[in-house]
Order: sequence, then structure tokens, then C-alpha cells
Amino acid sequence: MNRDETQNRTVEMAFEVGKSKPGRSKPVDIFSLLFLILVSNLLWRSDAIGSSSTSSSSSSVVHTNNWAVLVCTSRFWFNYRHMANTLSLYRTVKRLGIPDERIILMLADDMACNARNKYPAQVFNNENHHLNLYGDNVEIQGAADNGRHLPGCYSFLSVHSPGVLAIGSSMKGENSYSHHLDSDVGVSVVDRFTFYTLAFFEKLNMYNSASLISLFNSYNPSMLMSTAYYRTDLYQRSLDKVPVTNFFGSVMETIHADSAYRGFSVNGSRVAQIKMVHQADSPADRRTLIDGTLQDQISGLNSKERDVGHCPMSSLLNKLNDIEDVDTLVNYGLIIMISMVTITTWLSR
Amino acid sequence: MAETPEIPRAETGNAGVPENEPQLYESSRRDPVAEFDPNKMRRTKPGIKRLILILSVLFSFFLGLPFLLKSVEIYRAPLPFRAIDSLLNRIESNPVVLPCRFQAVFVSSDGEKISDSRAEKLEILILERITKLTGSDPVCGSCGNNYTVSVTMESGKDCIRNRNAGNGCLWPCGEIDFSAFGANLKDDDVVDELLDSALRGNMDCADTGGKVYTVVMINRDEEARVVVGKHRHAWVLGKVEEIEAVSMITDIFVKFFINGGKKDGSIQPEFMPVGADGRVVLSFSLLNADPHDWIYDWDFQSIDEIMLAPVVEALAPIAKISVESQVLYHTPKSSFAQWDEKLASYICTTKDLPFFVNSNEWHLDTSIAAGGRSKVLQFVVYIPSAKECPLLLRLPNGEMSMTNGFISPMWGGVIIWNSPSCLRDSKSKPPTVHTLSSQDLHAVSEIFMGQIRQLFGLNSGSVQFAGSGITNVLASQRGFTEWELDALSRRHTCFNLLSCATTLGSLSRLVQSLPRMIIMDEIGKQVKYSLEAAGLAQSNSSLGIYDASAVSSRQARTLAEDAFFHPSIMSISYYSFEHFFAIYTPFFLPVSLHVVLAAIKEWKRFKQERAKYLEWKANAGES
Repeated sequence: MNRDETQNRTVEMAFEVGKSKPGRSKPVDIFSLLFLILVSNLLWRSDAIGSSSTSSSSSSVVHTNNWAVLVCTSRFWFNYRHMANTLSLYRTVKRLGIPDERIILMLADDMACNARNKYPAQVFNNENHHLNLYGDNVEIQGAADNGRHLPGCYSFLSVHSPGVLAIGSSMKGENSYSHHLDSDVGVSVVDRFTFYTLAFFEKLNMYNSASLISLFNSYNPSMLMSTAYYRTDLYQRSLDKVPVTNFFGSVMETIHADSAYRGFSVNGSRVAQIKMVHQADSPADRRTLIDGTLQDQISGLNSKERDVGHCPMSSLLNKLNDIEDVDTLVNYGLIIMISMVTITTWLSR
Repeated sequence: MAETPEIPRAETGNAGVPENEPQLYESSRRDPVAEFDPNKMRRTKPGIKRLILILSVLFSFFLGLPFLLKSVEIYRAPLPFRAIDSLLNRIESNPVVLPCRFQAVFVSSDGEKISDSRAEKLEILILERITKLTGSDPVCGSCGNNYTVSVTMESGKDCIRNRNAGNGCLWPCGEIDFSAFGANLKDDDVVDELLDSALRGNMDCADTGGKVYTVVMINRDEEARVVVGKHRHAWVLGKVEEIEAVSMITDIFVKFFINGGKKDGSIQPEFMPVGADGRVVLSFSLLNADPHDWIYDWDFQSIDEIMLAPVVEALAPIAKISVESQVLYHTPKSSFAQWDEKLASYICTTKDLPFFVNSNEWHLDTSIAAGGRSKVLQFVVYIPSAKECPLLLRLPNGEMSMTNGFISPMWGGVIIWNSPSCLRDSKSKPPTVHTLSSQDLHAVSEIFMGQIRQLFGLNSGSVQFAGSGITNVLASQRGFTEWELDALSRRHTCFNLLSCATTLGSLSRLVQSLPRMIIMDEIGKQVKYSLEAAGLAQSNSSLGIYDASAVSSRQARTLAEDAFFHPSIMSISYYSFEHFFAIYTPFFLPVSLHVVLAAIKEWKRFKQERAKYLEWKANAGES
């Protein structure tokens, strides 16, 4: 259903479905894998137009339009560490350059303002409480419903489109363990996989870019107590050549502005004035147009709502539209119906 | 009603059936009239009113079924799939090329011998060389393979043209007397206007397709001086050999008039910053990194009047441009700069530039258009704080940048402007609001103009072509010369048509693959208009009208994108068969079950009653 896009997009999803019981080690089923699904479109656009050169000055492909989608589907206080995982990754991608406008962060429950949280409005991912993940500049888009399985849970195994790189924190049948318990907060604060991933990224900054293969090599199965593995059959490029910032960060392609364009004379205002005599309307229109349309849109919406009809039907309709508490109306109607049915049955006995 | 009395009798009868039956048999043999068994016989013919009643109900169900199916039919506006496919095939197989006409004029003042055969020979040489330089494959948006070259030779009173000169807009022989000008010919602007008046004065130039690119060779006893003008002509002043003249002429034709000033004329999609709705928003921002040090403001109105108004008008066929501006405070950059003792300033290298724009703190996307489909290009003037002032940009070859600015394709451009008070130690004074002076504003707007040109894929300035002998390339008041605008129109026409055809093709494949998707009338209309605009663009381009074809191709692309991204397609509310089933079966299934069962039961009863009547009749007949 998607048509091929003109811009290169990288969508990064972290799914964490935790239905685990509290405790140090969580026996989890397959659904407790930590998915990192990296999707990137191929550079087909330039080929379609038939241009001879695809890259101009930079030698490697850079993505200026990376998006990040971070979803946490675990609810309840004992899944504190899942929230901390997601918020840690949010902080990482922001640090590596993806702006808030291109991050979608969805959390299932509110840990920061939970009544059990001893440190209100603060979420930590380490027991030294060094870093408050819920500090300033956190924008949350929405809450995910833990009731239904997000289709992404199955998508690791069923992704078919090209250009996808997928990582899982444990193999099928293995468990994904938490790292340590914070006795002050009372629950585990981070998972092992996330802990070692974040340790890798804390060493990075935007300037030095490690390759993806070094990220994967940093996972030590004995420390993780599970086997982190990745699936590369859908991703063409070799992993040692791809910098992690291609996926987790946002790097702009820049070209130096070599010279100014000296075509305008300083007294160009005279020319402009002469022009303005002939086209008296257009410059003024151009400048005030933006405010004008906004006003028009707002007033248009208001007038639509206040449209009073002449006939009683439309006034009734308007009144019905204004009723806010539809549920009580429905309840009253049901009660009336049921009482009528019982009365008539009794009468026709 | 009739059933109730039968049931108890049937029950008692069941116990006594084996006794009754032989009795009946005997009685039928003996006396059929005496034994009247209401179980098996009836005297009256059974009525058909009950049957008709039930059957009418059943029949009305059947009658209503087509109406039901029609009412739940999915409305799909008819789309012209064949036309879309043919457009896609046509555009993909032959890239859109627009015809170009070239003209070479040789003016010699003395009575040099000129002849028809020389004109013909020159035409052939020029054509050969152009074909060799452009290659055999037609590039999208170039002039294609069919060139018309006309050669005019003027010497004193003689005027010779070649045979395939084409008609309209040719050099008027004898109109300009170059010998009278003398040294004034060194003033490029004067010569440019002179040539323009000569070439444009011809009435034939006003009609469609009359645009001709001209190179005028003015033979004089001087060193060669090659200048490319602001309109559609260039000239060479001086003594040049014929072979060298041919190569100069063809170089100018190919590099400037065909390729728009670049070596390669192919389209790079990252230099087509026009949004899907054919609009571009130029958003200018003045960033005060730390207002505690100094605060700057600017008179944006003057930039708008001097620079932007003519540019917006010049680019009108290619994109609808709107302009906005803002001033921001507390906007530090996110990269680091090193202090250089020799230059007494902070140095940014080109390696730091990708990390210069601090997306977290620079809230540039405040325009209304930010959420829509227009392309927003950000132009930023960054005023560094006292901690990093003055900030200079060093290029990879070690030189310092003249403009202190850079662009990012499809994003916009940044200029670093150092405050003059950064050299003075004014820490004690509270910050006052300064305004950028008009000279500074002028300098900044010139650099912005260069950046806009770079973002559109042209050279940023009137760059000298070292080694190719071009002495000067004139700059235009409107920011773009006419031949540059022609090149942009050609490229954008081809790009828009290809994009439109691809989008429509995707839409038709999508619609055909989902037979239960609703397609509203509006989408059908948009597709129809888009195809019409694409056809118009193709016919305009074949005639060689660059700006009209750019406009109609932009409309075609806009309409195709509107149709594809129509909100009704984007929402997943397709009326699947399961949906239909789930809605209607809870009502219709029980009801129809009852009706059908009742009809069957009634029919069986009718048959039974008829059999009883016939039995009685047979018995009555026998006796």
C-alpha cells in the first residue's frame, strides 16, 4: 500500500511487551523480546529519473530525515524498567541529533507520577540515580494499550520488505533478564540488554560514529545472560560500513556556500517602488495573507457550528449534538424500554 | 389453530394406529363413506390464503435483496486506468525534453568575404560538436536531440543565413553598427542591453516558441573577451579563429544554455525543493545565541523589497513562494569551535557543519505551513554569543570562507554573522537592542541569494569558469538570469511530469488491488484534471514554451499528490466483506430463518391437506 517515498526515512521502533511477574529474573515467553526494528528505504528515486550521478559531494549516504518511533507497552509499577528502557533510548536518539518533531514516544503507563514512586516526576535507569530520564524536554505522544498485542510483536518474524535490520535481545525460548534492582525505588530499573546498549551509546557522540557491527559485537552473551542476535538478510549493506548514527541519529548533508550573488543594487528600493505602483495589491497581500487565512479558518469553523436552522428538526438535531453525556441518556432510554416491556407483558397476561 | 386439536388426537391415534389402519382398510373395502377419518380426509378444498400470505413475505424478502445489495454497494468513482498507464509508459520510455533553438551570429566590420557555403559548414560543425558534448542519451529536462542551429553572417552590408535557419527571432542584420561604439563595448551591461534590444525588437520573437539562444561573435582586433549576458545571449569580442570560434560557441551553448551553468545537466532530486503542492515557504530567522551578550533585530521589510519580491516573481512558473521571518533568542549551536590564536577567532571546520544546527533548541518550524505539504526552506542568520565570537568557517583546503555560510539540500541555509561589538570588551553594559545596518543587511541578502540559487541546483554566484575562457557572467536583478530560469523550467517540467505519472500509476495499482476501497468523486475529478494538465504540459513542452509547461506540469503533480494523499484513502475504513457480514447477519439470519421455515412448514401443510382432500374425493368417488 505504501508508494515509494521521495525522502529517505529511517523508522526505528523499540517494542517491549512485558507481561512478566515481579522479581529479579522474569520468566518470559517469546513475547518479551526487545525488538529494535530498523527500516530504511532504498535510494531508488535518483535511478528512476535517470540521472547519472547519485551522490554529489559526500561520499557516504546520510539521512537527514530520520524518524524514531519508541513504544512501551508494559503497564503497572513492576514494569518500571520497561519504561526506563524506552525513556533511555529516547534520550539517546535526542542526544544523537533527532529532533522532537521526528520522534514519536508512546508510553503505556505513567511511572513518573505513579503514587508508588518515591521520587515523583523522576524516572531513573540506574540505582545511582545519576540520570533523571524524565527531566525537561520530554514530549510524550500517547499511551499504548497493553490489552491487545501490537502487530509489531510478530513482525520480527514476518517482515518481508527490504532494507530492514532487526535485533532481538534473546533467542526464542530464552529469557531476557533485568540488570539490577534498585532497593530505593523498589523495582528493577533497567534490563541487561538496554543497559549494555546504553553503555555503548554513552561512549558515542555525534562526531565519532561507530559502525553497527561494533554495536552488535559489544553484546557479551555471558553478561547479558541471553544471546542477542540480529537478522540481516533483508539489509543489503555490510554492517561494518554503516555508522550507527545513520539509524540512531540525524546528520545533515552540508555544502559550503561558495559565493554571494551580487546582482542587486543598493538602491534597488527605487526599482521596487516603481514596481509597487503598478502592482499595488500583490506585495501587501503577500505579507498579510498568512494571518488572514488563519483568521478565516477559525471564523469559518465557528460559523459552521452556530448555524441555526429554521425548522424545528435542525434545532432538535443541534440540541442532540450539544448533549455531552450520551451515556446517561442511553441508560434512561433502556430503563424506560424495559419497564414498558414488563408492564405490557403483565397487562397482556 | 388447526394444529392444536390434531395433536391430542394424533397422540391417542398413535397408540391406536395399528388398530385403526386395518379397520380403515377394511372399511375402505367395505364402506368408504361411513368411515370418515379427519386425519386422512377433508371435505373441503384447502384454501391458499395462508400459503399466499407466507409466500408473499418470502417473496418480499427476495424482492428486497437486490435493493439491499445496491445500498451496501461500495461507491467507487471510475478512474481512467488506461489513460494513466499510457501516460506512465510514455513518460518512462521517452524522458521529457523541450526543444531548444540556437543561433550563432558572426559580425565582422571590414569587408570580409562571407559565403553561403561557409554558413552551411559552420552550422554542420556546430551541430556535430553539440551532439558530441551532450551525448546520445537524452537527459530528463535537457534540450533533447533535435537542435535547430541557425548561422547568420554579417559583414558590412552583406547578410548571409544558412538554409535551416528556422523562422522568427533571428538576428537583424545591419541594425547595430559596432564600429561606432568603440571602447564602450567593454561595458558588459551596455552591450547586454544593446544586444537584447536588437534581438527582442523583432516582432517574431513575441510569439510562442520564439526563444532562441544566441552567441554573437564580434570580430575586432582585440584580445578575446567572452561574456554571458542576463537574457538569452552571450557574446565574444575579439579576434578568434573559426575552429576556436566553433568550440567557444558550442561550449557556451552546452554549459550555459542547455545545462544552466553546471557541467552536468542531469536532475538531482535533492536540488528540487518544491513541495508536493507546488509551494515553497522561505522562512528567514535571526538567531541570537545568547541575548545576555547582545540582542539584534533586523528590518526584514527591506530585504523583502530589494531581494525577495523580484525573486518570487521570477520563480513564479516553477513554484508559488511565500516568505516569512522571525527573530529567535537563546539559540546556541550544538557543535564546538576551536580558538585559533593567529586569527584571534573561533574556527568551525566543515566537519562541524553537519552538527551545527541544533534542532532541539532552534524552534524554527513555527510556520503554519510546517505541517502541510509545502516545502519549507529555513534561512538562518546565526549571531554567536560572546563566548564563541568571532566565529569563522575554515574550508578543507585551509582557506577561510568568504561567506561564512553553508547550505543543506532540501533544508535551507545558515549564515554566521559576527557582531561588531564582539571585538570590544563590553561586558559591563547591559544588552541593548541593535539593528543590523543596511550594509550588513545587503551583504546578508546577497549571500542568501547565493544560497537560494544553490538550493535550486544552480551556481551560487556568477562563478568564473577558470580555464574555459569565460571572462564574465552577468548577474541579474531578479536573482536568476533568463537562461537559468529556462533551464530550471525544463528540469522542473520533466521532474514534475515523471513524479505525476509515478504517483498516478501507484494510485491506479492501489485502487485496482483493493476492490472494496471507497473512491470518492473528488479523487476521480483530481485524477482527471491531473491527466489533462499533464497532457497540456506535454504539448506545451513539445512546442518549446518553457514557463507554461512548467506551470501545467506543476499543476499535474499537485493534483496527482492531492488525489493520492486524499484523507479518505489514508484512513483504513474499507468496507470489507467480513464487515458487511457481521453487520447484517445478526438481523437477517434469524428473521430469514423463521420466514423460510414458516414457508416450508406451510407448504408441507398445504400439500398434506391437498392429499387429504384428494383422498376423500377418491373415496367419495368410489362409493
